[in-house]
Amino acid sequence: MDLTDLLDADNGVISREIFVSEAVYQAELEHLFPRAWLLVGHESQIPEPGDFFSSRMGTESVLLTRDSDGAVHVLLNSCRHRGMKVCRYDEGNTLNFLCPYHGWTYSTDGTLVSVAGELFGVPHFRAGYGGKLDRSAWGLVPCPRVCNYHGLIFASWDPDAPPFEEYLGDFHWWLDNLCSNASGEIGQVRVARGVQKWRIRANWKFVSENFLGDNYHGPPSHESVDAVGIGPGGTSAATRHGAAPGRPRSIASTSFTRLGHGATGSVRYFLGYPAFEEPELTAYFERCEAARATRFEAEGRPIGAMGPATLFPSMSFHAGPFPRALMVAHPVSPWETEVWRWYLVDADAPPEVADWLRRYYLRYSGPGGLVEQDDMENWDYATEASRGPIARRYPYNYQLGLGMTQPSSLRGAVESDYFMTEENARNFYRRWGEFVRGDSWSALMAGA
Amino acid sequence: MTGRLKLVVDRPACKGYANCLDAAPGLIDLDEHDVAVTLAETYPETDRAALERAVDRCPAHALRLDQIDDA
Repeated sequence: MDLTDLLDADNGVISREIFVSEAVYQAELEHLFPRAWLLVGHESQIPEPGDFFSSRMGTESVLLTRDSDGAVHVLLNSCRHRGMKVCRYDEGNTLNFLCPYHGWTYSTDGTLVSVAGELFGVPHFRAGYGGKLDRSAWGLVPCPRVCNYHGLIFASWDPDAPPFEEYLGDFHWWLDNLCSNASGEIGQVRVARGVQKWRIRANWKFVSENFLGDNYHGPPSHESVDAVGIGPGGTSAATRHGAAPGRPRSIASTSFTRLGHGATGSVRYFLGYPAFEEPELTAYFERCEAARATRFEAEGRPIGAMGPATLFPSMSFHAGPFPRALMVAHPVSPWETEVWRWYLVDADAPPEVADWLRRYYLRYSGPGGLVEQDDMENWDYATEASRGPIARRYPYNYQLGLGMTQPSSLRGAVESDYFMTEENARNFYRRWGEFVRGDSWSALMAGA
Repeated sequence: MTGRLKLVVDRPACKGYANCLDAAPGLIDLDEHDVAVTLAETYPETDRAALERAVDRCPAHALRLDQIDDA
């Protein structure tokens, strides 16, 4: 798709059409979501053979499964016969998926099939098909590229996609923190039970952009939640994030100019763990903070990279150590998005800590979370107020911090001079444009 | 164990997948309604492995294997 007249990332002028046009949306579905690496779930959601989690990649329904041998697969949740969703449960345990429409049955049981998701049986195989249907050719479609990144499962439908680690680049420091417990041990996190799913009347890119490093919206949008003391320190603390009084929330934003990922903050800045209203929580996190500092120094890991952050295109997260949560913005239409939120806790967190975090996440984020409600109001009304033929004539302004960057120590990244910037968004949309207009992988990865 | 084995077919459940025919060759067939039928009233212990395989491979869970005591 030709985006020349719609996208001028270099000068920070972007047409509203990319948020409301059905043609642009269809181009996203064709060229972006089937090629990008997307988050599918976390392995702690499927610990046992036969466990499955129904997920999404773009608009498509997929099954994250663990087969009888313990291997993890991502399968298209659509029967090869007439397309019915073979599994309509959110999660569960089974090695066989029997389509409720005509009964085609697929298996991930290694004693029954040679390939996970293979078609294992069809009704009236002898009488109806004369025993001649080639069941080996009609299995559930497997996603060709799956990567287990310290427990986070990512997948891409494009066999030619670069390895996930190349797609990620030096942005991995943020993802490493997301995958680490409060003591900094990588891979030692689990999903707090339950994934929140809800729909908003907004374009999916508003969600990505919000967490990509948009510090600009914080004070106007979230002043009320700070005032009521939603943070861990209650009304006595400075902010909803629990920053110590006088400590800046952030000193810069980091943008990966080619890869499109971005984050509030930098690898150099560590906000510190908050003081809680509950002394036992403060004690737990103080212990963890000391352990993290020792570990990171020994391992040569940078102290910062906390986020919020967005992995291009649609996974956003707070990298932690506090808070630690992630979300995926699934497109539904140009004007509607299904948001899924996972909350992470230390794998070995004491029950009272895990329970406190669960309650905190629910009051902070998700459909009932006060901070997320602030954001959703903005995204919903922005989408609605941009749809009309008059509104669509006038582009959005992304000129905050234009030309105000400095090199980062990270490969392919810059840091903003001032902590409020739209550099991250400009680079995100430039990357978005490269995908949507159909650039090849060699072009997409050149200079990245 | 010296008893005999009885294969019980849940006829309404059977959907004619025919997986049992491959799992237990010569022990099971399909009738004119495409529903599984046993080819013997009871089976010897030597057929146990094949019959258990047929039970396991029925997507419709239409088969059950019972032990029949000699007495």
